[in-house]
Amino acid sequence: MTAIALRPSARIARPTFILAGVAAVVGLRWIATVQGSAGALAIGFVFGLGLLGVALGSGWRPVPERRSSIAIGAAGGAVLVLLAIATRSGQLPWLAPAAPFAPWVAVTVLVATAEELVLRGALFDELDGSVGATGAVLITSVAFALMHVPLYGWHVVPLDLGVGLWLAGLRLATGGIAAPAMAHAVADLATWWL
Amino acid sequence: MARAHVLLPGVLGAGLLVIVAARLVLPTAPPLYDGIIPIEPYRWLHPPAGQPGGATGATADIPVRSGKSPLVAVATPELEPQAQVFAQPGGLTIPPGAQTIKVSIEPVASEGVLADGDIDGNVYRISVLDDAGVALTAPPSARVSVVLRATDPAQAEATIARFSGGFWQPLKTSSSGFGGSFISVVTEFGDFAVIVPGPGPSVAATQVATPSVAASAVPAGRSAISPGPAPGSNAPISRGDNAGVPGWLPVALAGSVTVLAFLRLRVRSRRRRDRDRGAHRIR
Repeated sequence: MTAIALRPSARIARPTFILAGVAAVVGLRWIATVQGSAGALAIGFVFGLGLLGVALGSGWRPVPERRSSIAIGAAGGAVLVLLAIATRSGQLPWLAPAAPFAPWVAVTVLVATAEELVLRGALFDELDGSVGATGAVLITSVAFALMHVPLYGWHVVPLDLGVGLWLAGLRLATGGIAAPAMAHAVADLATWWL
Repeated sequence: MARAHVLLPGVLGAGLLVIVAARLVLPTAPPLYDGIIPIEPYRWLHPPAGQPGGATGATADIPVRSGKSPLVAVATPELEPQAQVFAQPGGLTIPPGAQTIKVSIEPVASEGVLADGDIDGNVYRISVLDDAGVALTAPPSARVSVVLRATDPAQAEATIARFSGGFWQPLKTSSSGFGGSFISVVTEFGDFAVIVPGPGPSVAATQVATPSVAASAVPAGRSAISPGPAPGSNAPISRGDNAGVPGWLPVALAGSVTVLAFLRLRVRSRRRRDRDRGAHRIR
């Protein structure tokens, strides 16, 4: 079997296009939110579909994973929730998102999964093949932190950088996106009760 | 894969370390990481052109139990609420015999003009009274909080100010962690507003407020705050954010970039596939 090495420009082009696609979808979400183009859940739904489009449009496809990845992801999500509880300031009683529960769950899971598919899936694999695993971990974690800035502000960068590293660790541990997607969804869904 | 196993403990450990450090060091960290927190467009009392109106308030009558003030958590109905007040149980100083705490949050017209900075959004009149209509207060240690939302969910820097004695008095403010919301600990209630950096009307520049105990929370150059009635002046003055840019333009540009990027990506993939097939045939 003869491998055909990609030209250096091609090795950079594909991750760049994925990042550009993510940036465009994030930008559109922000504009739609600020302009009030639709309800937050509808915007979240389209945002999730947009990220799925970026992941699948890049030609990337998920590989079959072991069932243990789900359990590892659930445990990883539980760690994130426990950390959030253990370190909350207690100054402000956080309120559950004021949205219908079932649609909120569906959109939250869609967005969390789509973010993992595009970052820890498509982008991670491309970067792993071009700049190596360390670069893939760092770049996907930074991208994860930056993509939350438009809605939540710059102060989320340190926290989301840490979460990005944690999710990338789950990706490395299991070799697939099921574990980080599960952990991400668990952490996001816990918002309803915390 | 072997390299991945070498990296794994370091990546997981670094992730945990950064999360804990961010949560402990930065008071502004959101409670979790990326829940879908619905953020509606800001609703104005006096909407600028093209902005939604219909700002509403909130009221609550909360019974007093065992002579101690109860948990007070009242918020306006928007998502995310544009004004909120929180007091932990026992946080408010209540007179003997009080049976009920009446909390009211109401958007009102702005009464003041700023020399430096703009009032961002509505002014909210927050009153917390007992049955006899006596205004309740709170010691600083009770950390009774007022949370106000800026009009821009991405607003990073702002100060909550309280209108007192004809002046807007800046309060020590921090971000609450979500959607451009800011939080201040208060000891008295009254009229509150979010103040964002920006040029205020020059007419007020010669009248400087008496420095308040919280003035140290205001960045240099932001302390000149003056009185003077200006009904309806609660719209941001010359924010300049998207001046002259049609709303559809960034959407169209971003959409075009996305479409072009993925068309190019597909073409490259197809070329590579064709090359692969050619290589196989040659072999």
